[in-house]
Amino acid sequence: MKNALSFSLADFFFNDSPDVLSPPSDFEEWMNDPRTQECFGFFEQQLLSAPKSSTEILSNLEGKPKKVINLTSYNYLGLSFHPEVIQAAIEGLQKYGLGASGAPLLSGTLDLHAKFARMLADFKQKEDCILFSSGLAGNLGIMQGILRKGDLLVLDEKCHKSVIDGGTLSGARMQFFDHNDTEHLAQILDKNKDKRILVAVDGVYSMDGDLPNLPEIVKICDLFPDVRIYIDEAHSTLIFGANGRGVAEYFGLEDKIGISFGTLSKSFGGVGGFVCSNAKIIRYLKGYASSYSFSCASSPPVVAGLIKALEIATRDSTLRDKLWENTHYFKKNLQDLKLDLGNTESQVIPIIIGSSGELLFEMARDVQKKGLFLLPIDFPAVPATSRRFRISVSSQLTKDEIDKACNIIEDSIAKRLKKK
Amino acid sequence: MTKEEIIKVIKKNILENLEEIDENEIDINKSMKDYGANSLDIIEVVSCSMRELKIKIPRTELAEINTIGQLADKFLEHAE
Ligand SMILES: Cc1ncc(COP(=O)(O)O)c(C=O)c1O
Repeated sequence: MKNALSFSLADFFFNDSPDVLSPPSDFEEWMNDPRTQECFGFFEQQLLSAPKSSTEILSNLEGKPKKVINLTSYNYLGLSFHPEVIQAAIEGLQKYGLGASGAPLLSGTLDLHAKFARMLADFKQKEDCILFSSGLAGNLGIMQGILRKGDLLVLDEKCHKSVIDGGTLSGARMQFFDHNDTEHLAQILDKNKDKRILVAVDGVYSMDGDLPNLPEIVKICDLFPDVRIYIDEAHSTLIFGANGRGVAEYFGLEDKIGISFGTLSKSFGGVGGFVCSNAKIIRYLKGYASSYSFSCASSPPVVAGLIKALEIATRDSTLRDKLWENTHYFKKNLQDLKLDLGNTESQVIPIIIGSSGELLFEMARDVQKKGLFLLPIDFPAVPATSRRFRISVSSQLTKDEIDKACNIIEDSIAKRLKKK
Repeated sequence: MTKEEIIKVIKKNILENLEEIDENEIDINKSMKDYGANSLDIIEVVSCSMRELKIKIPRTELAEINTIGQLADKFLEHAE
């Protein structure tokens, strides 16, 4: 293939091979190209220990284990390996075993699930909560559960794939508004007054670390009495707001959010998703969200651990405060290196490199060889003109680790950008 | 292959993928977005058209394109 590097996963979706179990022939050719392989070498590198701020990976570049400072895992509060969480999970495992052995509607709901759902509803100050076995399943479930053909899902163009897939599954029509462009949003709402509408935004946009312009978005939606707002607080729950309830709390607009989604895989340190809203729609959702009613309830030790994680994260603000201290310190150091951090306002910090895939991967190799686990993010996950690295800051990072990381970033990334 | 032939294929795919639109309405100096296409629709139209025309252009090269006419020009560059 002569220009393997200009192709991406965006180019092989359609498949003309007569056998459905054969990928497209040019996909094979592309995949086997040494340049493609080098890029894909960054994927699925195995972690050999917990996703802590310093950990060990099986480096595909060197073909052997390598100790690294970890800037990639979204273990924002380090709760996945908190001793109290581990203890609670062990006790849950001993009491209930590994699996729930049933769908939630039938036999899968344990007292643990009911307790945790209640805790989450109270925490988010909504009437009720429904649990899902993953965040993605939660978003599929909400959209498929409440939207119908003929409805309109209006999303910020940077909303997560799971929301878009949920929209597709629902049969509703989707309209994207330009990122945070409230005028564009207003135009779409204005043109569709006859439709049932849900407006979807993220609390923290996962590739950019910026926030929705919620005050303006709410103001516009308020002009339309039946338009409801959904927020995906995957990266903001336990992090934003005086009590950690998320970006809606941070803006003081929680009562304007009709339906609030969160994932249990990021700051919670486990796995799963949850949705909080009024009790009536949650009850309805339980009947129509397939990822809830036709899927086994989440694993008991995980739920036991998550109950403890929520307790720890909300009994005081120690972890959250530490995360913000680290975020500010890290960001300041990166700004001193004159790097393009986009509009980040959170613990998700992109380092935007530009349009050169070659440069991105050259930097990525160097960064990893120097002992930093910081993955490149390429098109189509981000626009081809703003390929980047993405840092997930953790409260567990020490000042020393951040300093070391910044030195590597300076050598491998900042200096190359200056040369350009 | 001529530009006219390419435009015909693109228009056909627009009609197949977008609701409530008439062939005579389509102005090639406009963007598909002007006809209510969302980004998923646009990917669908572009991919179906490329398939039909038997050309393959990396999506990264299509980022700067704004109008249906520009898309046709790009296709023409890559057509045999
Ligand atoms: C914004 C957003 N929503 C939803 C999800 C899905 O969550 P999970 O990974 O827990 O399934 C993610 C993470 O992948 C995300 O970044």
